[in-house]
Amino acid sequence: MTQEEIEFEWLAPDRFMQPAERRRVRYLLRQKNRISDEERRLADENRMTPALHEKFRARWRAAHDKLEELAADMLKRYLGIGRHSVLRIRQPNERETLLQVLRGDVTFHDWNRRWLWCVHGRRLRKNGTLGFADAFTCFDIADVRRRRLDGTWQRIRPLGDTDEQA
Amino acid sequence: MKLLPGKLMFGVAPSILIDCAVQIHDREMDFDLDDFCEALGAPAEEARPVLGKLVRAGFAKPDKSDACRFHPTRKWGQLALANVSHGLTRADAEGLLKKIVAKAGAINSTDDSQFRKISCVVVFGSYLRKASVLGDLDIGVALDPQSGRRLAPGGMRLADWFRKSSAPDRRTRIPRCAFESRSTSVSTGSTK
Repeated sequence: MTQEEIEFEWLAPDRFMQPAERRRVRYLLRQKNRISDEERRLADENRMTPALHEKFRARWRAAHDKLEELAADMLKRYLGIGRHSVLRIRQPNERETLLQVLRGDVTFHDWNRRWLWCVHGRRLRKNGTLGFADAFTCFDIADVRRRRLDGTWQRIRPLGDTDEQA
Repeated sequence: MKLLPGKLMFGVAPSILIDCAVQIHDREMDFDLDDFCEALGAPAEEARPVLGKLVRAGFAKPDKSDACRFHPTRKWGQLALANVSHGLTRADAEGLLKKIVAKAGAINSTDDSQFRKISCVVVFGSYLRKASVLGDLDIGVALDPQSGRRLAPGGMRLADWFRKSSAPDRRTRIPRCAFESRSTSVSTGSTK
């Protein structure tokens, strides 16, 4: 990657989400928390059985899968980031992540009231090949670039802001 | 197979395409579009045309029973082994060949039993053609089978004997490896 100007941009989910999407995401996040809380409460009271644990896990997984599906759809529609894209994400705290996106997620940090995109995948090796190590990062304000097939890096711009395909 | 730096192949940078080929090749099984997208590092809408071009060029063939699955062909394996370089000029290749012959002579002139003697060095591949720029320099080395039979097994544990009896082979291969590590343009093979 050549030396290019880093430009941080606010790309947080709440910039793009429609009210219905926001409601749906909040509902799914609450549902996941509720299931985890309920499971923990039963475990604290020593009432947890393996069958109950399995049931809670299945419910949590169902909610999580729905959230991931919605997040992947929003990432594609608003930022043009599809599954298997290779991203370079640089954040204002000088954190830089190079990864191939295998899963996308949306999260909300209560403590600073910020919505974030979370991307999970596998890390790129130093020589630029796709590795096997897990990689994960969350971002809202960031300089995000996507690797094109010709090996160049294209800055991710919110779709609709410009005519350029992100 | 040799790919030129900066020259796109099927619209893909050579290093990306080779990385993709290596990942699919290492799986040693057929693959579908999702596997290909993951190996290429591109979403399906970008990867699909590339896969189509690779299939048309004979790098993969569709499964007879399932058209969504593909089998990598021998050409795919060649792509996985390809290197990205501008090649090696004939003058450079001749210089390298002289160094290799000199090294073989140095190994043969020593009486040190820790080395196997080299009975023959052959050059093959693109060097024998009249091309001015070669892909790489292909060298074959034959080790003398007699020179490695000095180790008497008497009084030696079987494991030690196995380890020590292969040591001259290994030591004779060290210069070979050194040549390869210094120059990515030399590929060698050896026979006993």
